[in-house]
Amino acid sequence: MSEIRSEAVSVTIEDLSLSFGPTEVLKGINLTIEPGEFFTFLGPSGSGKSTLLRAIAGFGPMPGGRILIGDDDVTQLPPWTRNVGMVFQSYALWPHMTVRKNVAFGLEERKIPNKDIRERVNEALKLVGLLDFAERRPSQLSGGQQQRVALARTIVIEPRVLLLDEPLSNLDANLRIQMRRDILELQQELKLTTIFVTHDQEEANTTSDRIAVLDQGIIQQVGSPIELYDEPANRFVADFLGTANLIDGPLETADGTSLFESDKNHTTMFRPQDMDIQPLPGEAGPDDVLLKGRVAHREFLGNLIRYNVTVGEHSLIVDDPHTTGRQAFAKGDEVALGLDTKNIHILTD
Amino acid sequence: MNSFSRSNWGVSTLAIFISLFLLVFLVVPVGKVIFVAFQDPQTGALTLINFIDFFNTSLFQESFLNSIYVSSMSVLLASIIAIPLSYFTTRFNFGGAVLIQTLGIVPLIMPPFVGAVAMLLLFGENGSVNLLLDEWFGFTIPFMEGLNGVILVESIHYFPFILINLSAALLNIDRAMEESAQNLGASGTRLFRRIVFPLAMPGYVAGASLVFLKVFDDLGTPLLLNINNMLAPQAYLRITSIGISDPMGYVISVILVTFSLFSLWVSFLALKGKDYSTVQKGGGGLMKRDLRTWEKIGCYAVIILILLMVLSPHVGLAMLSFGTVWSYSVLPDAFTLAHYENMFRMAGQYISNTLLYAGLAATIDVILGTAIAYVVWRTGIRGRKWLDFIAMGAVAVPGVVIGIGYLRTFVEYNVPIVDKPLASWWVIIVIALAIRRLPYALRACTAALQQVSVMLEEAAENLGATKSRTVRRVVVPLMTGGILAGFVTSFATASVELSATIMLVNVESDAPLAYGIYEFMQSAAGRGPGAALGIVAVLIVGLATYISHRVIERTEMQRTGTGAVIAEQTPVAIGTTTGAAPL
Repeated sequence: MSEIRSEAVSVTIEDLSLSFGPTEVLKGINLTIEPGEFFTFLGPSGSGKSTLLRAIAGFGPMPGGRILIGDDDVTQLPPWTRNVGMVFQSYALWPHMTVRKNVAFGLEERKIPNKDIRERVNEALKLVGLLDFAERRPSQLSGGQQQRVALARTIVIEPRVLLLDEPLSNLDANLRIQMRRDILELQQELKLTTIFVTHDQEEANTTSDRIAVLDQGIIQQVGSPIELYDEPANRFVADFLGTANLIDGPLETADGTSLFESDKNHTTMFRPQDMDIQPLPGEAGPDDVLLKGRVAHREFLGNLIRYNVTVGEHSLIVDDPHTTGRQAFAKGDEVALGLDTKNIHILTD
Repeated sequence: MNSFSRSNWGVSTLAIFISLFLLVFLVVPVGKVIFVAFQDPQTGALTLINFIDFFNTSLFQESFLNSIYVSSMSVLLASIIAIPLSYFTTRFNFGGAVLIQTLGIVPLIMPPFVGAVAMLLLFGENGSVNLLLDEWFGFTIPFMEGLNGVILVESIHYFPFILINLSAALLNIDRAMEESAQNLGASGTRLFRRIVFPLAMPGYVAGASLVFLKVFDDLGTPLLLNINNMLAPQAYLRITSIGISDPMGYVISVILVTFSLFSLWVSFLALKGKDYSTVQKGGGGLMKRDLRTWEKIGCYAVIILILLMVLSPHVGLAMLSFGTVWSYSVLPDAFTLAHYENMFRMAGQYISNTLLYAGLAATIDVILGTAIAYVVWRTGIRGRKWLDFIAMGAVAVPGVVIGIGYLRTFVEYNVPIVDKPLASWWVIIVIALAIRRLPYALRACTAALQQVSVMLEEAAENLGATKSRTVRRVVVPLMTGGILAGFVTSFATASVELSATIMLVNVESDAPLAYGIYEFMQSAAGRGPGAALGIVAVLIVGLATYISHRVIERTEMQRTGTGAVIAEQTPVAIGTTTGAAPL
């Protein structure tokens, strides 16, 4: 259906470092993004994820290391020669131009004949469903529509890579889910290598083929959403993606044996939903260990009840699925917790 | 902002060119003036002898004290006018707000020296008001006697600076500030003393120090009122009567510059770190209350009294321009159009010169202003802040000082084709105007550029536009409103500038309008045509001010509603774009 198509390329980042004055923002990033992949930089604010994206587009201070798009080293190139399309967080639509002029801008800069520009602008606007709004000013559009114009303006130049800098953060919750699906659909249709920056793990999990988790200018882990969740490489990733029980030091079981005692420099991690909360004395499965504790706090979240259970000196989060009419434990109740040892991860830092 | 420093050639060349311009036409002349003030006139050695001479001469002592006295009293009188007005608008619900806003603009559209003669005829010893007072009550008030005249004319002209800054400060106080104080138990005078007053103080001090500076530097008003024992007139008279080698003019220049810097420093201190724009979304300003009937009457009485005062130079000037003979009488004997005929016959050259000079100067100003703003805010060139600093420094240089500096510095440089010294070529007037008005244009351009989000530029570069293409297609179009406002402000204020031009006009045919008014007003017969020319000046400035307000209004309307794409607006504390402010 669309004529806007380009050959998918890879993006390779080799030993990239970057500083704002004395502040080191990126510290030796190495990464390969496959052609056609939907790749996400996920991290808290200040982690360097936006800086890394902007470096790929050619903005910000000159970095050390190399950035390759396909086989071309673009590290030294100015932004306007890179042909990577970027959608800005605030959309950055030019208020003095109509929607059509906004979308046409990149093509005009590329000295495309006027007739072709018109056709391609129409094509791009049709793709985002805004052809009827072509003669409006950005200020006359809603946030979601502005977002679509920004997207059309970027893909119309047939960029080799599409960069999305927290594009959904200015939209309300419902629209965000809708836009997220639309962007993914568009990306798959165009087979465009896409890099997405977000601090929202749900956004990252629902869209990405692979995710790089960043913290303090360092890539903590790269993997598919499920890999990152199930096999976090370190404490930061475990905590940042979902909720985790992170235990330093030994944990005493119901029968008095001490767990994890040998793992002095390690952290033990297991997810709240991997525990089975039961009345005392509790039943253990074949691979289970049984813990004993007291309910310190309870939150009803609809589909589940989240308990804080005190076990020895530790406070554990336990998620219990809630079904209609199911009896809940109360604050102060003594409970047993079954935990399958297969679900226990030992993290090295 | 932090873009790669590749292909910076164009920008560097631009920055060097601007620096050279500022160096040659601002730094060197002012430096020369300061240097000469510390130089022994005979030997050329560095000395303080000139300053000692200055302070040992009774005329100069008197002038010095008079200048300080007049400036301080003008600040006082201007405060007495401005404080109630700003209090009324921000504190009470009543319809007079529009009147007060008008009051804030009307005085600024007429340079003070233009109205000075008209004020003599209205308020002088034998002026309309005193004639009436004498007839009805048997006494007179010396409104215009000696320094009183200067104080009255200056404070009527400059009180809007206090009004604008103080009102802005009061409007910026969030209602929640007041409410939380009340919630914690403060009310009445304690509330005012502890919350409202400290929050509004910086705005007041900024406005007041600006008034002090303007009055201290003003040359035209004392000259027109024939008051010579003040600093600026003394500097002018020494240089024009004794010659440019007389050191006293330079000593006075140094004192003028020092006091200007001091006023600016006070204003800077007042505003520094006190960005009190505490207004949250939704409710802004102090709590307003309705007025009781008698309060309302009181308010209106005060406002109308001030309005009459403020309009008196305009009314007086109009009457003078249409009156036949106006002397020892309440009103002119009869009315005529003859002065306008005379004026257009004799003074057409003045008007066309003014339009040419002010137009050129304003064009230079917005080009320089845009370029400096871009270099300072969008490039990483070393020392870029200095460019801004030096250009803004022109604010602290009184017109007399620029005039003396140009005369002294450029008298030796012959312009090749016209074969004249640069100091007496008409182009030097244009440059003087451009330098003097550059701060206004630069502020407007900077504000305009700061409203263009860097992301809008990055988006253009991302889509394939080079730096210069981005400037042309995105930055400049988005700055248009601000640039235009800067042009109009520069144009309006340049067209009535007197203090620098009066020293640089070499032949009458090169003279602009302000000089023409001054010349006419020297003789009783010239007053009529002079007033008519004054009316032309008021029309030019008034029209320009109106246009500038419309432009600002329109661009602001365009901006609101564009929402996320525009960076938040920075409040401009000193009302540079609010109207004309001739020195």
